[in-house]
Amino acid sequence: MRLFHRSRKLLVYLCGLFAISLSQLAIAQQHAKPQWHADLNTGYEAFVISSEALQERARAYCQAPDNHQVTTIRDAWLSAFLDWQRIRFVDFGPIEQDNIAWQLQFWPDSKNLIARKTDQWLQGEQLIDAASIASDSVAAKGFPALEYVLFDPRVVNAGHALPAKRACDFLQTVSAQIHTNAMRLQAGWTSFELHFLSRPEYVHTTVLAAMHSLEILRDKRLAAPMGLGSTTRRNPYIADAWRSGESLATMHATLAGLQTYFLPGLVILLEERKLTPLAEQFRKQLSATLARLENMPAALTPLLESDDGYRQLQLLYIDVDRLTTLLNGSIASELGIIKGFNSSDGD
Amino acid sequence: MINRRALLRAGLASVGAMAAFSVMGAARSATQSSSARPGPLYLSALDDADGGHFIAGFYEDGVIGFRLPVPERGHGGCRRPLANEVVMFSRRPGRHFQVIDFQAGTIVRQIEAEKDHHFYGHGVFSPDGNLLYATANHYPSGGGKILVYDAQHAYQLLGDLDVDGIGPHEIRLHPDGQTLVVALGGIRTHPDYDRIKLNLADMQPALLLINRDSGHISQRHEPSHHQLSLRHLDVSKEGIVIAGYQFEGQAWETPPLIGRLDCANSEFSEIKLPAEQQSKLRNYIASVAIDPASHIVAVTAPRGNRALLLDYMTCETLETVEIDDVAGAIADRRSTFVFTSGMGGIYLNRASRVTRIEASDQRWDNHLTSTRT
Repeated sequence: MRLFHRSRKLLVYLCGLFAISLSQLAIAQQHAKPQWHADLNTGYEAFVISSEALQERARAYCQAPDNHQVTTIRDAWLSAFLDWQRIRFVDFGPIEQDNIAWQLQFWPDSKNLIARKTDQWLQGEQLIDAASIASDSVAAKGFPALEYVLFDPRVVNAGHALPAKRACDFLQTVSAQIHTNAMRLQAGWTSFELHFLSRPEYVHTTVLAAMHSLEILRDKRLAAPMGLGSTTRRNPYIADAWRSGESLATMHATLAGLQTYFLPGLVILLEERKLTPLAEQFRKQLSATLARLENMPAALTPLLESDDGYRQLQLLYIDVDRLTTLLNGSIASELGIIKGFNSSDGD
Repeated sequence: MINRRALLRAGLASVGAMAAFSVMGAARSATQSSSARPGPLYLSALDDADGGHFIAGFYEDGVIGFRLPVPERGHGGCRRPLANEVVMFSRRPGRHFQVIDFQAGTIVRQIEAEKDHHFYGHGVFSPDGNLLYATANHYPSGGGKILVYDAQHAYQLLGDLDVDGIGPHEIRLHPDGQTLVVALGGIRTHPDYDRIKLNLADMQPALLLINRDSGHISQRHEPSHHQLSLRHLDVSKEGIVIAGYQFEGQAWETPPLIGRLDCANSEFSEIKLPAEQQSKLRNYIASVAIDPASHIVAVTAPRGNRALLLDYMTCETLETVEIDDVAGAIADRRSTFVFTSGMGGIYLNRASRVTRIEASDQRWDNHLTSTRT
């Protein structure tokens, strides 16, 4: 009988603890998600502004090429592209519509489709306008296609380079489309708010997005070009933004985006789960990785070509791996987040 | 504090002994599969923790009989009547299918897709087992096809049937033995672009009935929204088709995800669940499995971490089975279903009770194929 009472008391106690943990989780969700939504809204707004500047620079240049330098468009391209990198980790919500992520950045491009498709537009005779570009492949849209026009010597040194009419038509049409997509994303993110805040599963979805983003950064954007992936050959051409020499700058932007738009919500979530030390560990490791990148050049290729450069990349890899392991291992485990297999990509 | 991690840990501890049993069983079956014990009852594609791709066969008790490495991630399969063969297809955009002798636990043949074609991951045999019908994409044109293979002659390609649309996915045979039932996803893909969906704005999904001899499309039914991609289906003994959708629209919309066709009278309808239940499916049905011995159909929703059991005659929901990342489903015995999870584990749902009968962390893919005829 006494045993029964003790068992019952224990059960009540455990139920109480369970209820407390659930309520703590609910509170954390209430606080983390509004933070994430607001921060990411800032990120989407920044992307709207920089993509508008890109569109405007392209228009101004093409109207009076003699009065402007191509470098001004390159700068605007980079600014907008890095803003996209900062929010690139978000793989849910409005970004899921119409392959917008692919429209903005077709990558990786193992078959060099970007050059092939863009050449068809630059050297063909078909009308270049919003409708015709919209109906073409994702390889001829977005930042990589513009990067090809703005940076690749095969275009820049050719007769059809900017400010040739077709190159200008292409530049203006694609930059306008990037801006349109940026506005769609921002408006969609606003519309998404109620749904995002009302559904508990978006806590896990948001953390999973960051986890996935770090895995891609470590394995595909860094390890694979270093020859640490399926082949041992060093290959800068499978990195992001190799034509502009900004591969490491894009990695920095992605991590900075995680710091600005993801970390504050994560800290709320972890602190309310009494996991402040883990939050602090993640914050420190993220800062350290960003600091290392800030002392490295923007381009990947020169680093792959020298022993000293490669050592720098190895140290960066170790930092990114630590960061990824922290989020995908310790933090995900404490939050009960497990990556799905069948749920992650329907078929 | 009790949290999800602790619960998971406790759960794993309790099934630890079972895991050891399964591994021992696997070793035993590897030596006995072709002698004392008949071949496994169920086949499925799976990935291991390192991302390696396999086809596995397992028994009713969850013991794995064989695990065969394959070059691509697998998807669906079909049993060849009157032979010890199951054909397993690579996942979209797949380049191969494997012919597996499930008694011997070996791959007896691997067929590569024709030039300019890839598979969608599903196929079905004619009742005599002589012809294999496989859904495929002719990617230069984007046109969907059903490729017809001669199973009696080393799976030579005999020809194809046109589906008048894009993205045929799961295919089954109507009980009349003559009509192919095809879920037309409506989504265009191209190997150059991996799994990118190239036409989400102007999809035209449909459910098709096609005469397997003439290629005549006798029925075509469209879902209630053009972005409801029909993917998976099963057909009952009465000729009732239950189809599962994946919605490609906005996450906050919750359209119906289950279609129902009575082939006899061409009545097509959709099963609307109560709003809360509907939203928990997270807009994706990964597989459909009808119990041939009852009126029960299982539909799995891995994003919602649940499967539903419904009466396909009354369209009433009978039960919700909560399993993380559940996708594979098949009827075992009357009112008993086997489920598999992408997070590992084979589960039995019997009399409203779920039991995990295999405890490894292998990632089971969407579908289960029975070797029973």
